Amino acid sequence: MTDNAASRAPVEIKVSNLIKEFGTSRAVDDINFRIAPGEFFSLLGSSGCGKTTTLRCIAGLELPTSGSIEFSGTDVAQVPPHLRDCGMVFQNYALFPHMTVADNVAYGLMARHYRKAEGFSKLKYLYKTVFSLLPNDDRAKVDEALAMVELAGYGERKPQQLSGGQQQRVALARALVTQPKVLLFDEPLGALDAKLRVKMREEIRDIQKRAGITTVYVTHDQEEALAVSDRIAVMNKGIIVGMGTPSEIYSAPGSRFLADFLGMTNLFPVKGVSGDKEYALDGGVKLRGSVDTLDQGAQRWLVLRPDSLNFAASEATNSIEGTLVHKLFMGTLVEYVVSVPFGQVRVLRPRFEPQPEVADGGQVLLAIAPEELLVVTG
Amino acid sequence: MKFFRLCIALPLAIFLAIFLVVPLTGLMLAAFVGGTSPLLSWAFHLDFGAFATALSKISLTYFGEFFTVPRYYKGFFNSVGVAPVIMSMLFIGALLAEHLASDLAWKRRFRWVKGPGMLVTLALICLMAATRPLWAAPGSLFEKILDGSSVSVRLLQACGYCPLVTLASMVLGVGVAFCLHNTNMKGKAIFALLVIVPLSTPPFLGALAFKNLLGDYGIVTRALEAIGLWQPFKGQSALSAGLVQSFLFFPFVTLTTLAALERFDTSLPEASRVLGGSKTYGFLTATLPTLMPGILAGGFLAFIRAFGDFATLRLLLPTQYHMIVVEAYRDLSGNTYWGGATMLSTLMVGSILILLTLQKYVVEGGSYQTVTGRSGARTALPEEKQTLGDRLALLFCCGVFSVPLAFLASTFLVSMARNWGAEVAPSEFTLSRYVEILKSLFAEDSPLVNSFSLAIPGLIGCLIMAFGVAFLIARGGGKTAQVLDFVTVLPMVVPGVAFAVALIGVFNTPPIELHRTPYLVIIAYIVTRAPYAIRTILASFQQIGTSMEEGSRTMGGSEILTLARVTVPLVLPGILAGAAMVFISAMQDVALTLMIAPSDWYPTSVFAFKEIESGRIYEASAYGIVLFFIIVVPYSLTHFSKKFGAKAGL
Repeated sequence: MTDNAASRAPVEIKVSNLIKEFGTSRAVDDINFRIAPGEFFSLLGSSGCGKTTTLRCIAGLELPTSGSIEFSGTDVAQVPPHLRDCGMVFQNYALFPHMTVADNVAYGLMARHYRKAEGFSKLKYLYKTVFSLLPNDDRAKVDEALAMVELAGYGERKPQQLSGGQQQRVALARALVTQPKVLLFDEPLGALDAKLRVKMREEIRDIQKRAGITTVYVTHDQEEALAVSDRIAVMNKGIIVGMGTPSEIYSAPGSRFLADFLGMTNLFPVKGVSGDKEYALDGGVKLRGSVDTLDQGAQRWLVLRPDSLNFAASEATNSIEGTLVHKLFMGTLVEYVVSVPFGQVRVLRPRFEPQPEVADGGQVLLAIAPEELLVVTG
Repeated sequence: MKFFRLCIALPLAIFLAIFLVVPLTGLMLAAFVGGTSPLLSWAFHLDFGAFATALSKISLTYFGEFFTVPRYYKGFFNSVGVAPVIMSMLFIGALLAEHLASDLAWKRRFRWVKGPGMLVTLALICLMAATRPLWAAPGSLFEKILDGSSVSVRLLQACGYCPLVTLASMVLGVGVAFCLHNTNMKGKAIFALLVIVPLSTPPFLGALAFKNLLGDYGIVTRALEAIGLWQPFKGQSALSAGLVQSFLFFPFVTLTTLAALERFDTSLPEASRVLGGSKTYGFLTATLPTLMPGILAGGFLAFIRAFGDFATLRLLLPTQYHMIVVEAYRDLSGNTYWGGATMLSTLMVGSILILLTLQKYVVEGGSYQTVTGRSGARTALPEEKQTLGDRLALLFCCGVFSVPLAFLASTFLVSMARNWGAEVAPSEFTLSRYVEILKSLFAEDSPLVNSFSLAIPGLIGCLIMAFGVAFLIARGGGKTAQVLDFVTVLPMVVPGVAFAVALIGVFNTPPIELHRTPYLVIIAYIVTRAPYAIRTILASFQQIGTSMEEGSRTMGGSEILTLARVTVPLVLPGILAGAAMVFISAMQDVALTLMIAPSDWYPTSVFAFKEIESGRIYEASAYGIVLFFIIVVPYSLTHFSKKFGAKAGL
């Protein structure tokens, strides 16, 4: 299968000025992006941000109000979904409960036979789908697809007899078996438990790389998006608020919204900036940063990432005096909540590091390296 | 807790044993020994000798009559059809073989028989029926069963009257359900409400209205004749009866299909589209099969109604057109022939049980419930302009609902007409029949008073029994629950005539001599109508779970207190919905009541049926209209309470 997929050039997706309105509300508001051939592209955002609507527009399940969606230069925005040659994994998997696993996986193949057939042979393929009579070469493709998701031998079962993770794999095999131009995922891991989620996202990533199919992946889980994607677009209220590779996004979120969304909890307003990149915060604390290319007029915020704060032995650059409120043992990490002059900060340190010998309420000294200090606007 | 459950279970078990298990067992035994088997009498007199003699006489020879008496075998095959009988036998055979087969290739072959094999069988038998004169030897069984003179009649005999009515009800019912759920047609709320009309129409009223409208002297018939056209239907024919039943029974399918549509996962057709299926392909391979259990459940209800609806068949079929339910009635009225009645009743019970099992297999064995994951349901159609589809839907619904509404309107007109002779519309109107009905309320043997005197004690009994059974099923669990579930659903599917035959067999002799007493009618209502209430109460029980009762118990509430202050109030919606269903169904009953009630206790439904039989259509129409309005009130109440319940989040 991978050989065949490789022989078929991956598709470039270009979305331009896409707008989708439902009644008077605008779910997607004039967005633009380009996905390189074979790229794993994620749309990240909280619920109602327009990410799923964008995906459904790409799949053809929604017709855009305006704008274009190009697959390798061909505008497909008004093409019905069954002619777009996509594979999609739904949030609830949408496995057909009346069909066996094999019939589910074969569905796309049978649908294509039906579409290409003419006249009486259309009926033949309809009949074969309804009564579960797979042609032999389709059966081989189905077995291959099931083997790829490690479900060889499960073909005769009903989806209900499988575990959540296995159902997820069936959905994946079903989307892949037709060797689609584009692979679409709509929050595919939402229904799985935490441990399985981590395992499955690795598998999805692996299989996508092997098949080399251009992929759009929708999720609200920033950790998941960072882990699997080549590139991420973060959406809010129908527009894209940030786009880049996972490390770009994480190391330079740019805006307060993005920093907040990526789980950077220690956000503090900047009261003033002096020439040598020194930022004044509430309580008279001044911290030194390294670079600042942000627009001078906007309100700035300092981000003190919990994992870049550490405990200092003595006064140094960027040290902050504070009072320990409490500490929580979280397994590999220990979380400290420290009250500082400009508010409260969370600090995350690895468990094996020496811990400050202070009881709750005791004095601690925190420090942050200038190059770790993040400035965002918002 | 055990003791508490026993206190509920024991009286229930005794009641069900005497009034359900014993009569049905007695009925089947009687059919195999060719006569009567008064089990209770034998048990009371400890007459083991008689029992042993009966057992020793068990043989299939009495079923031999089935193949020698034309009105028996014709009645059976006219009702259920040659093809469906053979198809179910094949299906069951393939099912067993598939379970026994070890190797996958063989399993696939048997699966083929269950799927396309069914269509092939149907096509073959239809072909054989159409060409019967060319090949069947004179005097052979095929020649006798498929004896229709024209191709269409033989095709009707091949497919069966009840399966065809079921199919028609399913087409109408599914069509209406899709119009209500999947379109933006105008007047959706009105049509959703109008579903109550055919459900509240007593079946005999449909037959009467059909005669009034399209019968040999019907209004439409005469109007057509007046402008020089021909009569569209023969007044008494299988087509007439089939039309009446289809247009009265389709709401069963509409309701179950609507329920299925509301649970339907809309991501399934979307998955089909994205995977490359066109709209038609997706509808046929993904949407329709997933909705099938709901559609089939409604179809099954329509089938048992069509199969057991003695009144319509008796009034609208020509006497030479035999139907099993009518023949069973004939064997008990007039020249009583007990052997025939029990044999036919056993056949009816058997056929329904096989169908019930098959339906359960398809619905449950196929396990159609949606696969896990979070629901991707996206409802709320966008408010747009009326499309062509919406307009067609409106046209379809208007057409479908106009028939039961015309039944109602014409019956109302007839009931008000002073005299309706040859003219197209009556010239003079009168309220005299309604005045007579009002007056009769204060006279002796008033049918209306009888209706209430029988239905209300029946209703109370039903609710007590249904609550007990539902409580035991929901909170007992295990094997007992399964057995109870099956035993108590039985009387709902057994045709009224067959159950009447079973009851008469046991209760027309001492020790419990109840035949032709109102008590037996009330008991019969309790046993046969309780399943409706059991279903609704059980649904409520399953909805509330056990945590609230456990809460009450941990806070020190006794079992009785918990039951009274927590359980009963919580399942009250289920009890009320069940009560309405029981009341409606008891008020509509004709067959069962007609056969076991004393004549001075005839309720409105039976009285009106008798009036039609003796040709007094004006009086019958007035009673039909009154009965319709008595039934429509509880129906509307459950309808609105459901809406209210949905809003209250129940």
